Amino acid sequence: MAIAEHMEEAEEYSSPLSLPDEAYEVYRHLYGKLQLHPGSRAVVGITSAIRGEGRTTVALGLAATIAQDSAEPVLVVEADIENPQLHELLGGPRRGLVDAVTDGEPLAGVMTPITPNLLVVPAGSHPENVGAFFYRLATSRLPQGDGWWPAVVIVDLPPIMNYGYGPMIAGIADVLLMVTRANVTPTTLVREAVARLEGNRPRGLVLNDHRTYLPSWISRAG
Amino acid sequence: MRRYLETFFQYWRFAVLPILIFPAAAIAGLVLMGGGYKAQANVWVNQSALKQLAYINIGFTPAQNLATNLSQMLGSPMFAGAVMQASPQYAAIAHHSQQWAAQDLHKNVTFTATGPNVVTVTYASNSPRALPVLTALLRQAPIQFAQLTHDPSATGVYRVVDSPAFVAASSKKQELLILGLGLLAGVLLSGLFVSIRTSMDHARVQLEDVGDMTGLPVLAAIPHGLGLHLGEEAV
Ligand SMILES: Nc1ncnc2c1ncn2[C@@H]1O[C@H](COP(=O)(O)OP(=O)(O)OP(=O)(O)O)[C@@H](O)[C@H]1O
Ligand SMILES: [Mg+2]
Repeated sequence: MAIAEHMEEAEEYSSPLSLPDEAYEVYRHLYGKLQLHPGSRAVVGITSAIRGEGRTTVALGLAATIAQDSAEPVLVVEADIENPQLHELLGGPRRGLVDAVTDGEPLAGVMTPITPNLLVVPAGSHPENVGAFFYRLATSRLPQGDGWWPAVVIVDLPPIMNYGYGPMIAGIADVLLMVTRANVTPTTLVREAVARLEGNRPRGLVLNDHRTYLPSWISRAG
Repeated sequence: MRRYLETFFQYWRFAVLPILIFPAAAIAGLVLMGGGYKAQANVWVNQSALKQLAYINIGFTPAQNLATNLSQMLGSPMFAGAVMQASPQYAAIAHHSQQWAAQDLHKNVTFTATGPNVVTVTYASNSPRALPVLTALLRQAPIQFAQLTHDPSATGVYRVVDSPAFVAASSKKQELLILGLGLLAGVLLSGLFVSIRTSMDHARVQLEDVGDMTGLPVLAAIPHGLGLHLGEEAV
């Protein structure tokens, strides 16, 4: 029932999330490297050492690419509740992850489609006690309920180094990706974040905001 | 190596600066100081007249003996006075001080035996009047000799074969050396800047080593410029 609602609603949305062609190719490449088994319903977690490294960019980029290329619905869940960004996509505050977890509801009730195959769950209300919320999320995982559940779920996780529960929340993902920002993030912090994730080793790194200053004739020479 | 190149091209404005500034400063220095002006003349020694002079060493060539006698005369205020008298311009520069003129001549005029009978006379000055001063000097010296030896024939002790002319104050070789040193200093400073800058950036993650450092594979590199701007798109 929920999914039918979503898809109807989707018709009303213009697509606020359009990526340059270049970006689709980068995320296709990344998706390929993840080697998710079709039908595995894997939860992909996007984390980083610190703030501003591009977790939301990568989460939405990857989701938009899979949603466009596969016929399957893709869900982006915003677990970075202290710095919510996804409500911007929806034009204002909505009920979201915090509300569903706190009220013990399944997530399907707070999903909103933004393009035909792409659904989002924004962070929602700010919880009274962030630590308690994170503890509950980490231990109970995403509330799937008994009903419909999308093929691919991508979680925009909070940064590891900013929260004591960071590594624990990262545990809600089956496949973990660590975004890091080139020329910005101190290497010591990335190393420390990876060390904190011991036992839940990220599948790999996504180096964001990468650029080269070499003239092409030098790059080509190797 | 690649990292240093990256740094060089990222901060090329700063990296290139010393490479430009140092040689430019060297050129500016050469032009400004430029070694000033140097007048030079050659005289031919008359051996028979030479014998009359005060300082004669028979083991020396005529040119060497003449050079010695001319050098001896340089410090004399009387001679300086004679040169000033012959060259009003020089008198003006010297503010009519024989003392100053004697010191100036002593310091800046050299006599070099460049052949058995040839003495090269040079006068280095930071004024273009070096030429008339040297001319006056060469005219006055034989007169002084005649007065000192009480022998009028001493006026014929030499004849000027190449009259005073300007010569390049510093050699091409020297200029190239200074320019080369400037370039070297610039390149070294630029290299220093690039290596310091690179070691500073080394503390930030980069494609080349983030994989090794974390032990994780780099699955993707998202190029600069592909960031989302949610706030703007929502409006
Ligand atoms: N590849 C990129 N090129 C240029 N700008 C980028 C890139 N990736 C991200 N940005 C910019 O960096 C900022 C942070 O990106 P983003 O919001 O995706 O990071 P985040 O990790 O979700 O940050 P936060 O910790 O604030 O949630 C945004 O303004 C985004 O536009
Ligand atoms: Mg974010």
